[in-house]
Amino acid sequence: MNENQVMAQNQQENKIDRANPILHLTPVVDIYETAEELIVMADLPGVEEPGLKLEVSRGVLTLEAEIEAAESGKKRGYYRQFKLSDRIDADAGNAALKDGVLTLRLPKVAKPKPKKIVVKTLH
Amino acid sequence: MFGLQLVNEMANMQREMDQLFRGFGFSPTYNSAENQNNFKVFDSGESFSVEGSVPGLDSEKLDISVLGRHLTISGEFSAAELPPDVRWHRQERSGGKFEQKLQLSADIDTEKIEAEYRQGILKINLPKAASALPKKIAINVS
Repeated sequence: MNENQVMAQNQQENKIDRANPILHLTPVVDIYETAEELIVMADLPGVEEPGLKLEVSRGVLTLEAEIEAAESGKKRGYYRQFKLSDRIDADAGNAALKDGVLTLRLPKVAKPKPKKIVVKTLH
Repeated sequence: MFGLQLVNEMANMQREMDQLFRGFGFSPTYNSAENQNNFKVFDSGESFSVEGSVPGLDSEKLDISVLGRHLTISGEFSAAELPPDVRWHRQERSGGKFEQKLQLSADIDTEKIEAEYRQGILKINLPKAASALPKKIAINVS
């Protein structure tokens, strides 16, 4: 074993597990609307269903996904957010993941209903 | 106008900074290496492995062929059937056909090529031909 080989071996043995933050990529998306719904399609190659997180909170759609651990050990993921109009009924949406493509269907609300607040008269 | 939009993208400071530093501001915003149909080739000594992100491919139209040291991968992205009154908000994903040609640095054992398409990632394993592998030469010591 020569000097270089010894050094290489020592380096391997002393390898420090550094903090491994997830590198977030911006997934490319197609967004279009038909008369009934808004359709979001996102390219998420390498993502399995358990690694995908879709959330709508206060009218903001958050798409977050983690790529299945690669051999290199680097953590990678996807992240993107969209603000949805109140004419979209996010609760009735459905999502499907196929061949690394997410298809999210969000139906439109017929009419955004104004919320009435009942005034109680206290005697 | 802003209020009429059904969907608006949220600003993402972190992402914009990342993009800026990654391409020093000259690359298009949505042009990360992962989003292109680029293939990577690894040489593990006994075989080559080719890997590429090609989400949403029509697997029936995916075609892989090897001629000598040339590997050709071609395919077509499956397109959704759209109603006529569709209104687009964003169109960033790839569509249509693609073809990628790669030249490998050693002969391939064409009988043992394996390909796999999972979650939009195409992986091809190409074992090198016996003639391309190093051969140990026994030394006779008298």
